This record gives sequence, C-alpha cells and structure tokens, in this order.
Amino acid sequence: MKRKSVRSAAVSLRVRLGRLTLQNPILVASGTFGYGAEYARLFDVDDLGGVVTKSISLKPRPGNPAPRIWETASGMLNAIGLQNTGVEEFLRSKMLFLKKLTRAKVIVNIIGERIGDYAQIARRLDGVPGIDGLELNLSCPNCERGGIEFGVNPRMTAEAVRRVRKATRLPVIAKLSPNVTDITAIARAAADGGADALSLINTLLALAVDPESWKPRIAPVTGGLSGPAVKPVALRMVWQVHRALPKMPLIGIGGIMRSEDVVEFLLCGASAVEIGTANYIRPTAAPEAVQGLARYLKRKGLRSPGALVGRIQTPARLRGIPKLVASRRSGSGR
Amino acid sequence: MSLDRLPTGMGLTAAPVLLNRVIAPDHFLTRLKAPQVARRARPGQFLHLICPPAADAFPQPMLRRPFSIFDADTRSGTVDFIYKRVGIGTEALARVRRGDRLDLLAPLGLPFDPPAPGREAILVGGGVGIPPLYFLAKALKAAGIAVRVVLGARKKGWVICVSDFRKLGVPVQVATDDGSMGHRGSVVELAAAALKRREDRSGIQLFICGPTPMMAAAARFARREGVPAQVSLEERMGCGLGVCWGCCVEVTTEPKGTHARFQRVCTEGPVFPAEAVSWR
Repeated sequence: MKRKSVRSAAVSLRVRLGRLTLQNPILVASGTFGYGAEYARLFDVDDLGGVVTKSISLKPRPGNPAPRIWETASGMLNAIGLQNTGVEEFLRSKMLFLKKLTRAKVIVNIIGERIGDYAQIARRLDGVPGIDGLELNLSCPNCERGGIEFGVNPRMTAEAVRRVRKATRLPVIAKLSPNVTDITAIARAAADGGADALSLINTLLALAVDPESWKPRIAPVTGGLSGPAVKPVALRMVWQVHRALPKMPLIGIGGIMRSEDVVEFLLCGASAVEIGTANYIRPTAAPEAVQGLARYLKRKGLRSPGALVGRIQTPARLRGIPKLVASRRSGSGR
Repeated sequence: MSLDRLPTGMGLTAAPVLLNRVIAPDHFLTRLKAPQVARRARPGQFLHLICPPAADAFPQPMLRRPFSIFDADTRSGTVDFIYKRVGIGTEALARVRRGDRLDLLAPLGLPFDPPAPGREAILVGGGVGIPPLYFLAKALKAAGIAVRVVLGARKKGWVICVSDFRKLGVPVQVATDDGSMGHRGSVVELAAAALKRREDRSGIQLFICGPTPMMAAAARFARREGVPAQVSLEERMGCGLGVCWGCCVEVTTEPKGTHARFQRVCTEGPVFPAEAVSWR
C-alpha cells in the first residue's frame, strides 16, 4: 500500500510561528521523539511541522536510577533525569539524521545546569546547518543539581532568554513550567527577555505511591506528569497566556492524542502544538494528527489552521486583552 | 499509511487473538495471528502492545506493555506470549477474547546471543521469567545445542511451562521455595548441581530470566564459577522504541565515551551479559 501523503490535503496547513514558517502546526515534544531517526522506521518524519529534540546539555548527563516511569490515570509520571550525551556528541551523531530533514523544522531543546550553560550551548549550535530554532527547557523538575528551576522565577527566566538571544541568530522558544502561581508573569518575563515564541506546558510536578510497599513509584520520588490527564491544565494556561500576550506566538503542549485535541489548543490561542506522550502509545499519532487536522479544516470550510487560533467562544466579558494589561498599556494607572 | 512492511523488521500490526486461556492460577497464554512477527521473532525479543480498555475498569491502561515471546511458529503464523495478572494492564488483557485484535509493536529488542554449535546451554528460569526461555530452548534444540532447563517459583502451580519443555525432549528440573514441587530451595542450587556434575565446563553457558533477586543470585553464581551468562531483564517501559529512556537499568560496562551508565532495556536489551548488569 502506498503511503498517503499529507501534502495532498486540499487546505493549506502552513502556519507562521514568529520567524519560523511550518508546513503544518504539528510538532513532536522534546524527550518523546528521541532525535527523530527512531521514528523514521515508522513514517516519514519530514511530514511533520517540526521535530523538537530530546534536551541537550553542555556535558553528558547519566540520568536517574530506575524505576523512572509510572503510569497514572490517563497520565504518565516520569523522572528520566535528562539523560543525554551532551552537545558535542549530539552534533557528531544525532544531527546526521536531523540535517536530512528538508520540510520539517528542527528545533533543538537545550537544558542548562547554570544560566550560562544555555548561552554556551546556543552559541555552539548557532550556524549549524539543519537547525531551525532552539527551545529552552527552563522547567525540568527532575534536575537535582542546584535544585533550582529557572522557569519558576521571572527574573531568571528573562535572564536565560536574554543571554541565549544574544548568543544566537536562531529563533528562540522558551518552554514554560506549569509549576507556578501565575503563568502569565513567567510568559511576560520570557517575552521581555526576547523570546520569539513560547511553548507550554512542560510536565506538572507530581508523585505516586505504592500502597503495599509505601514506597514512591519512581526512584527520584517526584517526577513530571504528562498525558491526557494534564490537557485541561495546559489549555487553561495557553488561554491565559494568549489573553495576556496576544501577539506572542504560542506552541501548545499537554496530553494531545489526536487532531481534536490540536483544535482545542488552537482555539485557546496556540499557533502550533507539540505531541508528546501519545508518541509512546501510537507511534504514528503525530502524522495522524496532521491528516486529521486537514480533514477537520475541510469539514469546517476553513482555509488554514490560523483561522482557529484564539477563536474560543468565551462570554463577551472575557474577550480581548485582560483589563490589567489593557490599563497598563493605556497608561491610565488604575 | 501501511506500517506492515518495514525495512528494519519491526512493525505495527493489529493482530487477531486466536486464544487467551488460563494456564496456571493468574497466568494466561495468548496466541496471536501475526505471520510477519512470527517470521522475524528471535528468542529474547518482546511484543509491545496496547492492553484494550475494559468497560468497567478504572483507571484504564494507557501506555503499551511489554511481553516476552513464548513461542513463534512460522508455519501457522502465530505468536504466543504468557503473562501473570498483576495490574491494570494485565487485568484488561485477561479479558481479551478470541477474535479481538491487539495493537502490536513487534518484534522489539535484542535477542539472546546463541552459543556456537556443539556448546551446551543451561536455562535458568523463575516465575513469569520462564516463557522466553522456552522459545530459546526450542531454537537451541533445533540448532543441535544441548539444553538443560532448571525452573523455579514460589510454589507449585506457579512453575509454568514445565510440560512444554518436556515435550521438547529437554531435561527439566524444578525447584520451589516451599518444596511443593521438585527441589525445595532455589533454582540456582539446581544450576549449581548441574554444573558440579560436569568435569569440563568450557562451552557451557547460562541463560537466565526471572525475578530480579533470582537473576542477581544466578548472575553471581555464574561469575563465581566462571561460566558466561546472559540475562533477560524486565523494567517498566514507555515507548519500546528507545526514545523515552524510561526503561533504563544501571550497567557496569559503560561503553567508552558514551557516559551510558544507564542503558535501555528496550533497545540495548532486554538481553544483557550478566556481568554487565549492576545488581543491587
């Protein structure tokens, strides 16, 4: 059987994401797709809007002891510990496949143990053929070293983004942690730092216990929760950030299993999405979502995914920019 | 999108269930019609499958579950696996009926490395770790390699597949913790006795699969006796494809320059040299 091309769709799936133009709004989330080659055995990875790599650090990281994962109700708890070979080995071996992608964009996700690490990796990746953008992992809750999550502090978030911004000409996407009181404050900080786009949400800090042994289900005790269980939280945050920063391009992440979920994120204000945990369950979830979105747009008589962005039908009093931001801009000082 | 024919041999299939029956208390055997998997499968490899949701169960299983291959028959195009009902995934699986289809990613993982012809294999199995050793015994027997099997479990009834091994015509000995079947004690003691009777140990290899404490004991024994051993490990698994790094185990043999202290059971395993595993 011949593989159906997603490009044969009547509608155009092309979306703009700041300086990036994607052939469709479906990307795959960091840590759930390896470095692309693993899935090339199952479908044409070039059919995706983009691939976000597993997080790359400056130096190799061994990762956490086992067990590292546990399944919860409609969710997955993980504490892998950012195991990776470091930026040099990434460039030597993992880029071999990624640089062959011509239609899908390659976004390299980077993680720093110190704030300076981010800029240093960004500088190293600047100008490498085949890399189209950087995504900053500011929020991994598994990082034991230092114990600080840059992404829960607006000042550190802005600083990390600013330093990466200076170190590279590549588009910079800041990936936001949901483990904060006010996601819009962090989003504004990343915007102030010069982020081209924001992606949200990373995993929710979580815990599961074995009632028999009284032990935590994963060795590092706490981990990050992903999967359908977190989708409503992610939608709420995307919606909040889109209202606060309507011009900022957003990538929605959290429990997307199929094209209907993609539509929900677009309606809440995302211009693109990343599919994560679903890749483990159905390895073809992402290309299927591309096809499903094309069918959806056709059925609704829409010409492009952009027609959905931010179009959630909320009560009139909730439309437009929230009062706080509007008043700040008008300078009324209320 | 046809995913049935893949150059690397691994595929995604919706395999019809031919039977799903109880073979021991809480133990089930499922037979699938999956000719391409049957043709490609090697002893030690596993199936990664979606446990179909059950209408009245909560929570529903979501991630795939890995199961070692018990048998694969190229002529009938069938693949068998055996599992013990222990959690929500296997509970759902136990309810599967003939005619249902299972979403299957298979065969995955690196198989056992068979000994050279003329060598001899001692297979050491415990509990739900026994099934992959049957597939191995069958293949070794066909390749003209002498096979001896020692099996253990906590009690009689949990020592599964004994008659299957006997039908192959290989010598089988059994140990149970409570002495309700065979030797009272551990399976490692049976392996030790088998080895003790031998004057020339060169050419003997151990193939081990079972609960971690048993494998650790068997691996220590093999090391003490200077006998090469391979173990087939189990760990909670996410993707099965090597991307999530959820199924990692600690190894002592870190390939040079890789910083790979933790290796993936799905990709670098599930079969590892026993001395490579960091037993705790």
